[in-house]
This record gives sequence, structure tokens and C-alpha cells, in this order.
Amino acid sequence: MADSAVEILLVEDNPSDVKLALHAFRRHRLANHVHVVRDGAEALEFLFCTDRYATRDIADRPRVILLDLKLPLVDGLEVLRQVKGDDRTKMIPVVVLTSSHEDKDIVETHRLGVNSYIVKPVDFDQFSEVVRQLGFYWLLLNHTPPPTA
Amino acid sequence: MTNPDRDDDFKARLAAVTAELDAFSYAVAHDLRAPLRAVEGFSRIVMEDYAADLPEDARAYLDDVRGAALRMAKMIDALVIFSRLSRQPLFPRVMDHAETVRQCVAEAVPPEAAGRVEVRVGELLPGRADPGLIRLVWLALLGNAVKFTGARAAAVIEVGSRPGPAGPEYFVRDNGAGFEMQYADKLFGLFQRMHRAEEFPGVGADLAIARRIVARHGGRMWAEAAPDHGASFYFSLPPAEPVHG
Repeated sequence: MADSAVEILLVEDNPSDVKLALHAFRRHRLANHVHVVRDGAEALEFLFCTDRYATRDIADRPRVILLDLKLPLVDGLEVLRQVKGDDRTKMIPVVVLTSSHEDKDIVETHRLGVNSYIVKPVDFDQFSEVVRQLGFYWLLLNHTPPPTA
Repeated sequence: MTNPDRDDDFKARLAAVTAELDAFSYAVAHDLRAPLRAVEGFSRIVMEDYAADLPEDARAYLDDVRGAALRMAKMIDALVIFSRLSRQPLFPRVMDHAETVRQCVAEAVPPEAAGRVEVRVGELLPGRADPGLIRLVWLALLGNAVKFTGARAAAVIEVGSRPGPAGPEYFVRDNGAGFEMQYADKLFGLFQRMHRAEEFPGVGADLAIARRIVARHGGRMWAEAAPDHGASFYFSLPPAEPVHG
């Protein structure tokens, strides 16, 4: 099924931020394999293949998760906690993309095992550059262990 | 006489107010930035992807939209720093200002200004301060001096110190635009500006932040100036050695 080609899982509730991110992905030809989920509950269903995503195969792991922290229903910290707490998903790199440079969030996300923490810049050109580097690093350079791990 | 019940009550209320302030500052930092990203981002996308369809003045207006959004983002950043400063713990120690000033001069004087700006650093008395925070004070004062000597072909910025009644006093003096002394108190207000935005850029937060840092140390910050005859900014710090007697 189509989900098997997902390389980037974007967890973001703000529609403008979704559009801006997709625009930046398109700019750097990274848009083909992005799947967007709009709240933390849907992110967990996608990652653990339950409810709306019950037919997905959990071995088809996204190459990277881009996670906003402030989300409806289940917040980003809880998504991170569950992803890093489960052997089937803990190898997926998680990049937190958030609005603010909040010390307690930085400490907490690192404690939970986040791979990177990025403050979304207001300047779109800078944001686009961040997306380019993310794509380059997590999709091209980084090698994650095979799904049998 | 202390009343333990009233003490507990006071502590509980203080904790509640602090938690509310934290939530407020988090909301300002996080929630106000999201719409700004949309304003800035979509203006930028329209300018780039539809450039050929846009008349010259339409592009100029979009530039203004973006400029305003970026400016507001800077103001939000300043507001967050300013509000954190009142709660952040201080780690004062006896510090050597010479090295800090040297680094701040390198940062505050851009390479293109190096030819026209001369910085003379005199003796800097030791004082008790949190080096990380005092660095921001030096940066603000030096940056301010560089900015307001922008019109001078030969700008001279003097940095020095002198003993004061309550502890060492430090100064940064320039031969720049200066200002009327009747407005001297406005200088340190958040987002207050003494000059029109197109003359000197900036959101007007650095001096407010600098004064708050000095106040947190128990010191004082003030300025002396005359229009077109430069300005001197002073700040005092507690003495390096505790005062006896």
C-alpha cells in the first residue's frame, strides 16, 4: 500500500505550518514521501498501526519523524515517550520541530531520547534551509538499523 | 514575629503567580510565533513563486509585510528574554572584564565598520557579577555605541571604569548622535526608541535588557548625553571585595 513508501512522518496540527513545511519539502524535492498526521493520537495510530492505520505494516518504518510538541489530544512529549519506549519504533530518528526555545522542553525531550531539537525560525528562507539539511542528514546520510532489529 | 500559616499562604500564592507567569511567557514565546511564521512564509512564497506576475509596488508592499513580521519576531524574542531575566538565578563571581570586553568589541564592531570605528579600552576594575549576563550588558552598550556613531567618519568609543561610592562604575562613551537629556529615562524602556526607525534599526530592547541585568546585580545604569555630541552610558556593580566596617 501507499504508506509503505513513507519516509518522513510530519506530526503537525497547524495547517499553515503544514503548508509551509510541504512547500519547503517540494523546494528540495523531498515531498514525495511525506505523510502528514494532524494530532498526537493519529501519530500513534500510524506508528503502531492501530485504528485508522490498522492495515499498515509496522515494519514499514518512516525514515524520520518530524514532531511538533504542542499537539491536540496527545502531546508531542507523549508521542516521543511511546515511540522511544517501544522496541519496534525506538530506532526511528525523531526530530522535534517546535516554536520556542523552552529550556524545560529541551531537557525533557533529550531525557526521552530525541535525536534532534530544532526551533522553527520565523524567516521562511531559514526554515527552508533547515528542511534541506534535515532531508540531507536523515534521509541521505543517516543509516538506521534494519527493521529486524 | 512570624506566623507560619501566613508564611505558607504567601509561599503558595507566590508559587501560583510564578506558575502563571511561566505559562504566560511560554504562550507568548510559542503561540505568537506560529501566525508570524505564516505571515512571513506565505509573503515570501508569493514573492518568489509569482514574482513575474507582481508589479513593482506589490513586491515592495510584500517586503513591508515580511519586514514587519520579522520585526515582531525580534520583539517577541526580546520580551521572552526580558521576562526570564527576573526569574533566572544569578551566579556572580569576581570577574575580569577585560577579556569579556575584548570579545564583545569583536562581536559588536562589524568588519565593514572596523575602519571607521576606533575602540579605546582603559583600565577595567574587577567587580562581582554573573559573567554570562554582564556580557550581554557590554554587548548592548558597545552595539549601541557602534550604531549611533554610524554617521561619523571617525567614530571613537571609549571604554573604562572608575571607583564609585557603592562599587566600581563602568562606562562606554561615544562621539555619536547623542540625545536630549530630557528623554534620558525613556532610553531604558522596553521598545522605546529615541530615533526614527529608518535612521537607526532595532526594536529598542537591548538597553532595557541591559538595565534589568544590572538591576538584578544590585547595580544602577544611567546615561549622559547631548544631541550631536555623543553619549556616555554608565553602570555600577557590587565591589569585588565585600565591604567591611
